[in-house]
Amino acid sequence: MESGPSKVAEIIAGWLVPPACREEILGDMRERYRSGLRYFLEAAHLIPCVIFSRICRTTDAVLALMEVASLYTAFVIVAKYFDPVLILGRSGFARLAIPPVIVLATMSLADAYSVPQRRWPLKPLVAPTLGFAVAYTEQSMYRQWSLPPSVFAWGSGTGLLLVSTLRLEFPSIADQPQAAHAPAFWQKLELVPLSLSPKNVLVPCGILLAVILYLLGR
Amino acid sequence: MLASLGHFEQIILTAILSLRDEAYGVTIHEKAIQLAAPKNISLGAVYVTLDRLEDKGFISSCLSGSTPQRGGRSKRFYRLEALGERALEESAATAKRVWETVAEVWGDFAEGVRRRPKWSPVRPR
Repeated sequence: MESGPSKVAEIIAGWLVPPACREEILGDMRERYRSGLRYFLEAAHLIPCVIFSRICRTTDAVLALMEVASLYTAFVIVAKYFDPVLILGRSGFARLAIPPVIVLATMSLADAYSVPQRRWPLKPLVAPTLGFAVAYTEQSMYRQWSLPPSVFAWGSGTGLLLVSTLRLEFPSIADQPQAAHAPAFWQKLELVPLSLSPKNVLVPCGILLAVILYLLGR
Repeated sequence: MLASLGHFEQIILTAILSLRDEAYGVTIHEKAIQLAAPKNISLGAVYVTLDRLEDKGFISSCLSGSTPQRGGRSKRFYRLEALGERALEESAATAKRVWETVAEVWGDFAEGVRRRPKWSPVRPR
């Protein structure tokens, strides 16, 4: 009789492991199978590591910074026009930062789980749309931190437009063509790697601050 | 100037080098455990390091070789690239120099006896 994990365990593990590395990870886990409990423990330790590694590979730090800055600016501008009291109120800027952070986290996860082989023209729009759907769910669940409906709706619309444009212009690493036997390193060379020097951090923050101060001063 | 290798990266690259055409997740993990003994190494850490090394261009990978033992799933085989060979060479040279210096002071480790000199500092007058 063939010894191996149960079908249900394998289906759950397969669902959790990102598709790009599913084949080899599930194969390795099956090869190392000793008992159901050990399989479960190994999966509980292995899968978070694999997801983390996949996020590191598919997320481009420069693009992520551009996306989050665009989203935050969109929400701040929309709040300035639709509900100026929100910006002046207590923790107004912090509340405006919640949807961009949620959208960015969801987009990173969506990129990690995207299948590199499947491509279609509107694929870059899937992750941002999913991100805003998750942000909307969060806003409906936690009312004390939620934004006014008009600010959220217009902010999401503007943010979606900006992020989608960015993604169509600079496709994420997961969506770029994968050459056979070519190390991923050479593909990443096309983009400028982010170094966390003071210049790289301070310049975007300075631009964002100037925009916010201008909006507040009007 | 090559990027310097971490201790764990050295272990993984050495495992791939020694396994030659049989270097995939499970075998690399087993070899890494042997090399890092008595430390234990998790399979997750091996995958994270393999991905990082591939991104740095030190290794490359390809899918092939499914077996019934793996439920018909393929293995991802890893191969050392020229850049990885050079980085490992540099690390090995550094390790050799460290080894020679330590052996010079403490004596030969090969016999399993570590002759550590007594600590007797002489204060300058």
